[in-house]
Amino acid sequence: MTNCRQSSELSSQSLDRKLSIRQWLALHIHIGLCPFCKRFGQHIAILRGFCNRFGERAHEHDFMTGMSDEAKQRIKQALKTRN
Amino acid sequence: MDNAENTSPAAAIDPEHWVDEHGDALYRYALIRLRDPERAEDIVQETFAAALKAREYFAGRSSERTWLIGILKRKIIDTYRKRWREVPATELAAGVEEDQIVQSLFDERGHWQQRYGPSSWADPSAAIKEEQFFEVLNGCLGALPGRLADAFTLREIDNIPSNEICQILGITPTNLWAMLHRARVRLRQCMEAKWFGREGDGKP
Repeated sequence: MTNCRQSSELSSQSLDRKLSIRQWLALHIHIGLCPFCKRFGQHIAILRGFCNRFGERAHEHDFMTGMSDEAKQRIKQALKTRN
Repeated sequence: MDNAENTSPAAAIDPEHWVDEHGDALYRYALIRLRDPERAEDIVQETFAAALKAREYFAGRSSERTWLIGILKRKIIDTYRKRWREVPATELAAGVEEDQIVQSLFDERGHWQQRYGPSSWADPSAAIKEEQFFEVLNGCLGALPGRLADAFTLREIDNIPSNEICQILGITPTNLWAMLHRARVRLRQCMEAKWFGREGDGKP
């Protein structure tokens, strides 16, 4: 019988590859009986969506500080000599 | 020097203007992925320098920022490649300590410890307050051990297929899946505690 740890591994892997029929069954039988593991699967799928959005947009936001003025000056200087 | 109001094509590819216009976004983009401020600054500089060399190929089909980020992306992947090649094999195998934290969430039979079991999340669409949400997510990503964060970032933030990630990092699929599992368990736990969890249910 699959335990929660193994089931969470299968849940995770199902986001990265196609599970074998045996693995898929083991996962879904476990999930049918275990609310914790069912939630785990839902949560990591939800987080995947948010992480994707984070990757696309987070750099446009100001919650992170940008580059220091010194770094900007340094880069401008370096580019000027190359240009 | 052209002033910033000048919108002629020459001004659009003026490197000084680039730094002011795109420097912060490129820097954040790199910092999110590399988590190393110095390296992020360097790689942004390299990106601008490469863009300068290649600027005649910028046809304006995409926005200038998209074009620059495309260059930056390739450089970031190269950085990962180098980073992982330089890791001594012993350090790569040192997943043991990381595993302890994940392990501690389960009992000796491999079932969730009652107090750590995933709880039901408050409406995830409440995460529309994007700026705050991103800040919390960024904090939880930052709490991942470096190796796990690298693998997770490539897979979940940048959506790169597993087989390509294995190539970039020089690891086997089994290794990658194990790391992604640990990263997801940790990140889920952190986000539940810091964002999705219901108040007062005693979760860490």
